[in-house]
Amino acid sequence: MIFENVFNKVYDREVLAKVKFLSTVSLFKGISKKDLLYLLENIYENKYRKGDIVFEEGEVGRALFIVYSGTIGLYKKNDKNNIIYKVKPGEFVGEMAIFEEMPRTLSAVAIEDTSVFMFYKTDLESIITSKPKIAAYLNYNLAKILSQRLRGYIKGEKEIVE
Amino acid sequence: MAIFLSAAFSYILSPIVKFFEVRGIKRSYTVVIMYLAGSIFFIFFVFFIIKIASFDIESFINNWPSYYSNFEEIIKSFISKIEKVFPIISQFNIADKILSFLIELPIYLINYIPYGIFIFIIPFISFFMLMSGAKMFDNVITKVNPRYIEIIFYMVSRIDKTLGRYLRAILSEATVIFIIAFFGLLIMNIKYFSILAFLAGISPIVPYLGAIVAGLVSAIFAYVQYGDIYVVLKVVVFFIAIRFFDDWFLQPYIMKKNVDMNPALVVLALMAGGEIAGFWGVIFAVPVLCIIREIVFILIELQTENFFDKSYKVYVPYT
Repeated sequence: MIFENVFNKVYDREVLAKVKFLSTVSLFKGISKKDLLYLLENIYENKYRKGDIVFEEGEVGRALFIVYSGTIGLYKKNDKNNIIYKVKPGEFVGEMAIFEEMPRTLSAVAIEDTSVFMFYKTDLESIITSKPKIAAYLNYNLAKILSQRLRGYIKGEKEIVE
Repeated sequence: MAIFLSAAFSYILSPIVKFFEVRGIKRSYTVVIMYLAGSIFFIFFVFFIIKIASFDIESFINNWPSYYSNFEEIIKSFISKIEKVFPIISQFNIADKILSFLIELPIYLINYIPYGIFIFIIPFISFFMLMSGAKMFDNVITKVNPRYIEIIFYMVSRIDKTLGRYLRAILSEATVIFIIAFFGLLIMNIKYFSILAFLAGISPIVPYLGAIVAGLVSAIFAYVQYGDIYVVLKVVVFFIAIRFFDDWFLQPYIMKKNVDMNPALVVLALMAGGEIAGFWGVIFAVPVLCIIREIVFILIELQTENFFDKSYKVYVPYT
């Protein structure tokens, strides 16, 4: 009983929830809990209020955004009212920025109060040298995700906007 | 200055706090436990070394007049020999300048003793900085247009990586070199070994110059104590060995301190730091150079992006 009380005082249960959340993200599939903790050390957390612009089309992307809570809406520049896709908790946006810092292809807005994890290309680069095992999983998962998207593109499942 | 040093100290300690924080231990408990552990370490180890060092400083200051006359003799004969070969040097009065500095050396040392209070003040301020943690940064971030948060975190991430790597490496390097020099000079039975080891320990903070000064001062002390060139050679070889150990083993394999800094730029930064803020300017010259260098690189990067080819295809993300 005393031990449980002390444990509850010292231990931050929110961290456990974050690690559990990260383990459900497809990008981190297969990564052990210990390595997820290392990742948690190396990613940035940020909160956006409803209506905040997360990034704009044409800006050079540097980070991948994983939605922890809330929703991010994607839209074409100057057409904020026409949301093309809603990024829900557990989903992520901007994975191409992890490989190459190229201009964003869409703009993003926080549809409600949203909490995100930001994972930068520079962090992936340092993980490649310091923790190759995590990097191998990340790159494998990213390759799978990009492959799925390419398949979708070829099949014409998704709309292509020139 | 105390605030600045405290910020640097808490920055060095922050990865330890973050390590435990992401493993579920609340920040306040981590900081308190870390300080308790640090205090125990301080009492049993650092206090012991400071005690020896303070004894050394006391005897060093008391014995200084006799050492001074020895130095005077050595320096005068050495300079007069040089002046015979190069008469032009005589007009600079080098011997007088060196001797006037040497006579004031104990006073310089005493002047720096009040900074010893920093040993208590810095951890005290750092404690509160560590407790508040990222809240201070978060408060600033909330004032920024959310559109720029991605680039701000990017800059912070890059500066943090370069600076953090450098600062933590330099601290570990200083500790390892101090321990080696402390026991090496103790075994060689060189007087004031703790002061000399401390000098060797802080030498990596001032690249190039620090190592030369530490080796040179130790060699002079060895010569004054024993009057034997063989002992001087032993000390010089010992310091060269430390240098090689540092350059070939410590830095590349253990610390990965390589920040690819141009040596000329480092020397220039040291001179500029000394000119702007004296002693502390020299100490902080390289970390500040790291920050400036990273900011310049990011600015160049941003500038280059303006010329980017923006013709690209857009597709709806598949998630």
